[in-house]
Amino acid sequence: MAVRDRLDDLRSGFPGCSIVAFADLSTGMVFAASTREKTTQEKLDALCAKARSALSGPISARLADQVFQDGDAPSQAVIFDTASMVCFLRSDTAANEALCLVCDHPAPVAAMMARGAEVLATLSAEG
Amino acid sequence: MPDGPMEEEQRLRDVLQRLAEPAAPVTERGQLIAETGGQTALTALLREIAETVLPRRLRFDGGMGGVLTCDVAERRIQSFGTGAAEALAEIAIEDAPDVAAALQCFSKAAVALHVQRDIVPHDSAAGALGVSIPDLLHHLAGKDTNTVPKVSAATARAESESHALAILDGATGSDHCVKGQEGIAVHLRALEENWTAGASPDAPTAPMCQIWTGGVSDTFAILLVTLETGRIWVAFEPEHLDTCVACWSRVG
Repeated sequence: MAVRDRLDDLRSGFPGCSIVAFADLSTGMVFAASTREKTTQEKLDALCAKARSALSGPISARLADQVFQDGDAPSQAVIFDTASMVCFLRSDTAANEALCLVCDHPAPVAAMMARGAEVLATLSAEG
Repeated sequence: MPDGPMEEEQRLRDVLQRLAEPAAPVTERGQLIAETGGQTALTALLREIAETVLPRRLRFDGGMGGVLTCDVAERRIQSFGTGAAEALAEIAIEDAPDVAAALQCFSKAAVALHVQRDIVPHDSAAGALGVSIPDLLHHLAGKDTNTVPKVSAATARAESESHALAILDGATGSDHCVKGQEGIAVHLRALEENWTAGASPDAPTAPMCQIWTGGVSDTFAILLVTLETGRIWVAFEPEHLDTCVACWSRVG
């Protein structure tokens, strides 16, 4: 199955999910994305920048040093307010690869993260 | 799906607070629940549905001849119509987009909103699954979060105590430990102290929440709530992720 199809499959499994993007945190590039509505490359780039900040920024470094075991950077992050939510997942096997999911409230975050982790593992394995 | 005890508690608190307020004027069109149309009317309409547990026929009058009638039970709209009660149509979850569009259209056209609550004359919609408020919120254009009842950070913090391992309120300087996880509270204190030592962005104009989880060997996740007045740190078990997001996403 193509990368885009996997992302489409993930997004359509959660009605409130509007964007699923597969990104490289080291370069800030979005490899592929599935969107409910038409979006711009600038928005996807901004989403990737947010993923870098959430998973590899100063706070996540501090968490890795002071809180999480083994000194690993956070594997997942969720940023939300009253209006929307963005979930980020880092690949277990390729630390620079990540998934970004934009969704509305209310959303089954844990289920979405679990399914996202499965898809990300597959994408990383397929290289 | 039944609500959790925290939602019930919050709803009960809201209802009691409202009961303590002077009663809204009742006219032949019913009780006034919104003085204007648009989003205010839509919020009031959804709140009315969210507070209806026993089967009731709600007749909403938006003025200018606009009437919307629905049978509601257990906070779900089971049948619905924009005219006479006899014309109510039974609805199911797949009708949620149409119902949401109709509610929005009705609210936009309303100049004020009155409601009449009657006992359902017969159990016509018994057994119908109907649509819930969360079903509708998915389809309401713009998804203005004014439709979601907001709570204060203090309320969310109090609700968090049921699932938190430790909470540190950087805004007040108070911190305390839940379930005896003092070791985790130490981590939160260190995070807050280091934060105040620098690297702090401008204070946000609206609350923003961030959650981080570590690897499989990490037994807790960290929530950071950034408020205008300071930060709140919460450590919780990853299995409570949904509860945590539901709790703090209402803080406005």
